[in-house]
Amino acid sequence: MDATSSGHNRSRLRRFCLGGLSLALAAAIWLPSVHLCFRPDLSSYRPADGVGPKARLMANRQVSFWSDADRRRRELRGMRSANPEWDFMGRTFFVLALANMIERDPSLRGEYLPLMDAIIDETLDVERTDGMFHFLMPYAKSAPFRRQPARSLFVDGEIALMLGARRLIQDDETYRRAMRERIDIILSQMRNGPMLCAESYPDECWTFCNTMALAAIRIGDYLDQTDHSDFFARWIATARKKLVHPETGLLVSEFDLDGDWHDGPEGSSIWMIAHCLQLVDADFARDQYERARKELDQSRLGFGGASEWPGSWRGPMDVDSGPTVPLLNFNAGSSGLAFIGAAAFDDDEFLTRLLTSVSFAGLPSESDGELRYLAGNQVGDAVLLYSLVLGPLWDRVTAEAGGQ
Amino acid sequence: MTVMKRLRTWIRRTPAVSPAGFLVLAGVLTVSFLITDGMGLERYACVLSGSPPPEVISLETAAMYGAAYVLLYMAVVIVVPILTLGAAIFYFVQRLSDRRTPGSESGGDHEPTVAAAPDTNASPGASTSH
Repeated sequence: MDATSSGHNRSRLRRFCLGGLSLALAAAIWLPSVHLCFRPDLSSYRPADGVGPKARLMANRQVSFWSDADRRRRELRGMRSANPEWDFMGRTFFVLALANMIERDPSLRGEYLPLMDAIIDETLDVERTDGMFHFLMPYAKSAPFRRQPARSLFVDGEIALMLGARRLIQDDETYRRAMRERIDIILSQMRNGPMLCAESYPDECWTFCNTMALAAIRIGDYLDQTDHSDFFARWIATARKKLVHPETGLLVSEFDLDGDWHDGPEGSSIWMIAHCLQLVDADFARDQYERARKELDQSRLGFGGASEWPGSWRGPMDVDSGPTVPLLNFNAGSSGLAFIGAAAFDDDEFLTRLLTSVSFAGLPSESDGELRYLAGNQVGDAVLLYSLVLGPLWDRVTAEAGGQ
Repeated sequence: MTVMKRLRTWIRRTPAVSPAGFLVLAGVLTVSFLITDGMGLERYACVLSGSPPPEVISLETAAMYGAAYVLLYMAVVIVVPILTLGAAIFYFVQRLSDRRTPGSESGGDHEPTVAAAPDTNASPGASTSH
């Protein structure tokens, strides 16, 4: 190798080192700062009172989804082909959001109450016509339900919750009857087994669905002056004994009617579980939230996100959980529902970080007075909207309990 | 020679690992993103959530469009600022280094920067030669 060639190589090596170091330094400056470009003003999303302007824009997107039959058919076709449950859950979360928005701003009642009724009526019509399987994934038909007649607590619980939200805004005899019938069915299913839990799919009980059903029963107690506090206490005692994952102290997500676990604690379940338990056992609910935050919060560099599984449990990714961002370990399902947990437990710091993430990676698109997240879908937008307005409905039910 | 031809020649002769090279890459990523954005590929980003787009289009095509859009968006938000900042740091470090070692023309030393006029007569190897 002659001197010229050697010098040339040295120069090239020096340039590569300098270039690499420059990029590393630039990354060290930019990466911790990038979140500042997306960090939202929380008060425009979730103010203490009223409905924030961003939440209004998101509500407009949902209203137009429900008002435009063509658009709904188009969007639902895609969503239902991936998971029919999303069609159903989009209804539940939007109805819950509408009720909370009316409580936050009574001037919205005239516009939102008829919409709540339309969604509930249409859901009941579809269920009457096509049966509960319309809202279940196809494998619901792969085996018979162990309890007969077959009922899915996923469908019954969320319908009861929608009816309860509607009645909290304005009671109505038709909805009262429908809710009472539904709660009677739910209770007969849940009581009829060692776990005090009912099936959502054949021999598949989900803590998510069972706690949503508990929330519906609790709202029914508030509305109709019934009392299921003994049942709630027994349910919590059973769950603490048989459904708590020892390493994390979190409730597992899925088990069979005999209480054998199918899955451990799951992010796409636990945040909503904690929120529903607020109506039944506030201390246990907070305990679950704090544990979930400790085990699943993956926030870094100012961005918030949650993993689907805690470090001590490895489970599969399924259609409920959605994709996970490699390296960051942010899971779509868990992070989406973490908004509800953070909002329900007034964890503004976590909520702001989650909103920072969705403002960046959710691809927000604002046009024609509507806000939607292009990387998500209607059910994702409905969950996010609900997280931004939740509070007043639960407060009404628990306030009375406190006063009793 | 037309402006576009001059630009192409300049880009071809710009070493990848140089302040100007970083800026060229940043520019290419930004232009690519603007093209996908102009084509409206953002509407396919919903495939990330597992939802097929509402339009009648094959899932594979939608996934490809959606992934391209999201990757380029991420590149513009994360990679482009790093490249731009890195180019500035690289440029100043080189200048500093050149001043400390009089007579030496550090690597990339003849490389054009954004502010510099393109040297269309320089040979491809000129930028790294000593």
